[in-house]
Amino acid sequence: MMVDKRHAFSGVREIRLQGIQKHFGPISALAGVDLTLKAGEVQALLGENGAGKSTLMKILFGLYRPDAGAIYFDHQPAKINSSADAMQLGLGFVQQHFSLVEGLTVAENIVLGKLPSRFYEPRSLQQQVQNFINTNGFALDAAAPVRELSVGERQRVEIIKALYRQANFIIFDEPTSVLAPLEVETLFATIRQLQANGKGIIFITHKLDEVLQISNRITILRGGKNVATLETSAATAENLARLMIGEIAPPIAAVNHANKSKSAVVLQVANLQVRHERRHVTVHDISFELHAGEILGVAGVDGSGQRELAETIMGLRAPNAGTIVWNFHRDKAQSRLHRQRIGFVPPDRLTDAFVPEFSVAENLLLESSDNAQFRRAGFLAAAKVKRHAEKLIEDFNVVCKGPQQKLRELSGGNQQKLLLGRALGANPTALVAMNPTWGVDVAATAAIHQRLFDLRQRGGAVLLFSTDLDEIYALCDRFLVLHAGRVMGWATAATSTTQVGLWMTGRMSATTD
Amino acid sequence: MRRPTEILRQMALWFLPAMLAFVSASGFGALLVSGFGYSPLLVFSTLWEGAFGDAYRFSETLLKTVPLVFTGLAVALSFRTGIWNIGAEGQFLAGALIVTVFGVKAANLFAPIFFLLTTIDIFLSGALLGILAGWLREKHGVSEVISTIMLNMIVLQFLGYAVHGPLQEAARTYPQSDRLAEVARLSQLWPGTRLHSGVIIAVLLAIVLWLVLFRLPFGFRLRVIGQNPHAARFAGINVSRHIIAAFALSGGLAAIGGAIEVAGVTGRLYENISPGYGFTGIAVAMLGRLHPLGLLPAAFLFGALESGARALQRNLGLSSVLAEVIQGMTILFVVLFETRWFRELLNKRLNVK
Amino acid sequence: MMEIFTSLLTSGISLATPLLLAALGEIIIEKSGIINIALEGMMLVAAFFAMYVALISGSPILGLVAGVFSALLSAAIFALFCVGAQADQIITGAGLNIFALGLTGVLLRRIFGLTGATITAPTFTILPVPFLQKLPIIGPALFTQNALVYLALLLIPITWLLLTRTRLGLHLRAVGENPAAVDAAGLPVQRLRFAAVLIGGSYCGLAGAYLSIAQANTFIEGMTAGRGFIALAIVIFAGWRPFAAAAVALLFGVASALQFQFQAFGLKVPYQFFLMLPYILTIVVAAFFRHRIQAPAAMAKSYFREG
Repeated sequence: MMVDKRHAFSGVREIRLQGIQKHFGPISALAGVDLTLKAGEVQALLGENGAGKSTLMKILFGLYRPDAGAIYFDHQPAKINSSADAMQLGLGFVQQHFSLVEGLTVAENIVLGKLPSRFYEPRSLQQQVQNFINTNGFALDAAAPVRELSVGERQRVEIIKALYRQANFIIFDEPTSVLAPLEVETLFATIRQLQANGKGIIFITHKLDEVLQISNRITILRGGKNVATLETSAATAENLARLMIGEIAPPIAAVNHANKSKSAVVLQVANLQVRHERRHVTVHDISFELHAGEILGVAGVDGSGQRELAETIMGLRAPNAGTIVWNFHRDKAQSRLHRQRIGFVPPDRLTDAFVPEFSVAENLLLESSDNAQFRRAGFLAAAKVKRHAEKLIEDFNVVCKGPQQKLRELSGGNQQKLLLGRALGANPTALVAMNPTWGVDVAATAAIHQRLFDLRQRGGAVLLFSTDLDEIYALCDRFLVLHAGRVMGWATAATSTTQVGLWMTGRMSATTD
Repeated sequence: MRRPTEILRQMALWFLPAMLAFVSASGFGALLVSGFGYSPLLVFSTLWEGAFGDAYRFSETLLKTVPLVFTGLAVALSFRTGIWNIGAEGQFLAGALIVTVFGVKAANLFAPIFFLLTTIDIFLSGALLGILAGWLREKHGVSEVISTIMLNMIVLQFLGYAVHGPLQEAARTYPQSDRLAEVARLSQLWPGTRLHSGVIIAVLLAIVLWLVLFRLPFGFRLRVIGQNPHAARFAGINVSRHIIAAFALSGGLAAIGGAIEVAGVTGRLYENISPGYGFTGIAVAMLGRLHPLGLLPAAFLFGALESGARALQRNLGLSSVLAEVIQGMTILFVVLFETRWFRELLNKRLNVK
Repeated sequence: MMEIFTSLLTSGISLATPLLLAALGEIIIEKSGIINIALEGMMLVAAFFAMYVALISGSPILGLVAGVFSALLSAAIFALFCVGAQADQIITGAGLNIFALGLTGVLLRRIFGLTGATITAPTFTILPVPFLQKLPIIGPALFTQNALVYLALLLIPITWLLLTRTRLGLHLRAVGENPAAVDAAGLPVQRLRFAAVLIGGSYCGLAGAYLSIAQANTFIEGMTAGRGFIALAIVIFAGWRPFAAAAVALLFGVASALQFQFQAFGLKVPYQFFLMLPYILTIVVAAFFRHRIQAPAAMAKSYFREG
């Protein structure tokens, strides 16, 4: 590491990341990405979920170590091993999850780790920080406890924290995803102000409007690779959407887009509203019907309200308004009996779905421990449980040592196949699946997709939530696009990816701009 | 079918950390007594003599084992469900109190009715204390660590009030109750010793709890909640209801232990009826790796330690609380051996070789 | 009547002092996100070694030093387990309590023979403060006490200043709320928690020493008799605030003084209900006022960096 970093790098004009590579296990998150950041510009980093935006920024900020590649500050190589190093080099990072201490005041949060003397007097500290806040043109009460601040105000605290640490470059990771519309305006004003003061801004997002509104340069990533870097003045919403999403490969199996509206309605959702605790992202007034024999998709980026919608439909979250009616069972969705009829694939297998320390067989029992199929005289019948597990392992081609192996020892793909097997094992009438192929290799993905087709073929209904548009296009008979908790539009595989991309990023149509 | 050697190997691996912890703790005890100028060999042989020297001493060891089995089971059940129930002590005392109330004041009831009522009320006393803590946790967000510690102290004070007041013996000499009526006493098991039928109840309940936890769907769900409450909720399990049920069962088990101690051993109630059985139960449960059957030998080991320590005091003038030193150290070593830090250290060592 | 009140207050303050000291120490520890239920054990160890050293050296001051040092040592063990190795705080605490009870019992019998009851250790004597002791009512109660009481009184504002006016205090409070944020700010999370446990442990040392060489003048097996748990209750009741802790400790102290008064007057009031009160109130406060009192958000959770 360089000596005296502060002096060596103060007033840095340019940061260059070159050939950055990063693997998580077998999955490549970044396959040699380049990026140049300049002082006094707002550069948007655009890409779908999993494109590698956040990973790249975490590497720049020292939170991840790259497998290959180099970072240059004004042509001098820099080693960033921790966030402390990054801050020393004049970097600030406003993450989606703020790192603020709720019980402390704004002033205390801002100076945390930077207090020069052993003792301090709260009032004079507050005054001092208040002056700093005012001179930087922010409106914020330094004496207020962070606990009482709104989300927008908290974000401002994070920005001021970065400035207090003399950051020259500030990374914003999807800063608008947690904000209400008015707060977005305030944030943009702040960003323009920072830019005018010569700061370099990196703005991670997948909202096209914002990109066009705030940035002067745009870098687009897809699948961990550079797709393009262009001046904002040369960009249009259409070409950005196309660059971001790319060409969707034709569906792996011939999807029969027959008109399904004649077959029975399995699930009816009407005027559903869900509020997430303390976040602005909610589900607004959603209505749809799921029919037997169809795969209905819900597309959207992370944080678009997919998770809240899925949890509400499964009865794990109470709706604020609206109704959810499963036509075969009017009972509350909580009951275990119900779970036999509706398979569920939650988004995160290790935290939502499984007990990693338990055996494969036990994990398959999680939803159906009361099922008579596994009992003898009230007790769990080990032989029946084992036979069931063996059959599932075989049916779903799960590679493992047997029913007794601990679940956490299985690969991600095999865990996911097992999860799908569990959800489909009882021959459900319907399946609600969230990102069923997340973090899974190609072969397992194909196997899982085949299962969903099979269920549809048997007349089952599938509600597929996915952030992966390829998957949505490949599987769904029709799908709705969710953005900020609202249905932006309905689409089929025939709908252009540009249109869908615009919807996903918050644009109603391609006509304006 | 797995081969017997394989099963033995698995069992050995499973017990290894616990045995290592106990050996380490004993080693520390040996160090301590040799610091006092005693030969550790002499101390351990005296311990052994005191615990297993003859039939009577062996029976005394069993006697000391019984309450530890109950509090150990109570702790194991709650820890398995992800509940930090520190309240076994108070629940134990509650059971002791209830059996005394019935044994002293209601012994003239028709015997079957007496047994039924007494048993139900004993269980309820501990269960209600547990349910209270569970309700406070689930509905009011009060950590059960705090509430159960507070409830321990409340029950302790209430028991003090009872033996100074309404339950005090007719003679009014000591702060203790009258002797329980004969109908309320547990039968002697082994003539010439104090061993009572409670030891059979203890083993039976350990087997029952094993069946519940590892063979019943209900117990399976409790273990799921203990490992991953979030996944349990996503799997459609009513987590709150199961947690409160576990609190109730755990409290009830400890209460039965307290009742058996009075009905089987002391015959009457007084303030120091429990020398911290509830807390030692944590050590027993940890040493038994939270397994109902695994903690039987653990409780037996600690029971032997207790009765052997009596001999240390009699013969060598060492305090019998040496047993507590080893018990406390055992807990510390068990938690240490289960930390991620220790496991990583071990892995590194094993990989280097 | 006035005299009764003054004597009640005098003994109330005297009984409240060890509770206050332990509670102040626990506030510092819990503020850093560690729950230490081994107060009882730490106090017991300190009580024993304070008595022992005071006895062989003849100096209560040396006894006090030994008491604090021994509590520091047990706090260091606790910190090594819970902060260093990230062992479970509850179980470690319970284990330390049992261990301390055993160790002090064994040492007592080994060093002082069979009974041990006849030990009389040199003690901190009553040290009236000139002029102030003449104040009506509170003068005698507050200012005819021993030096440790005055020290405890001083530690109330000192603890408050430590937590709210120093850099270390700011860092401790932050680490108890959001250790990840503290880590992100480049501060050493584990070292801060270690420091909190040691500082809090030394307070427990004072509390334990007070029991043996300022109050009872001897050591009795298990003499803490649940005071560590009362201190835990005080911390919650007081909402982790030093001055409030002083008030609550005084309340509890006077409540138990009242019990002795009742007994002295031969009143047949079931005083156990008085002694029960602190615990009942604590549960009520924790259950129904938890929105007003804020527990440190990261309490009892070990911190390790992800990834």
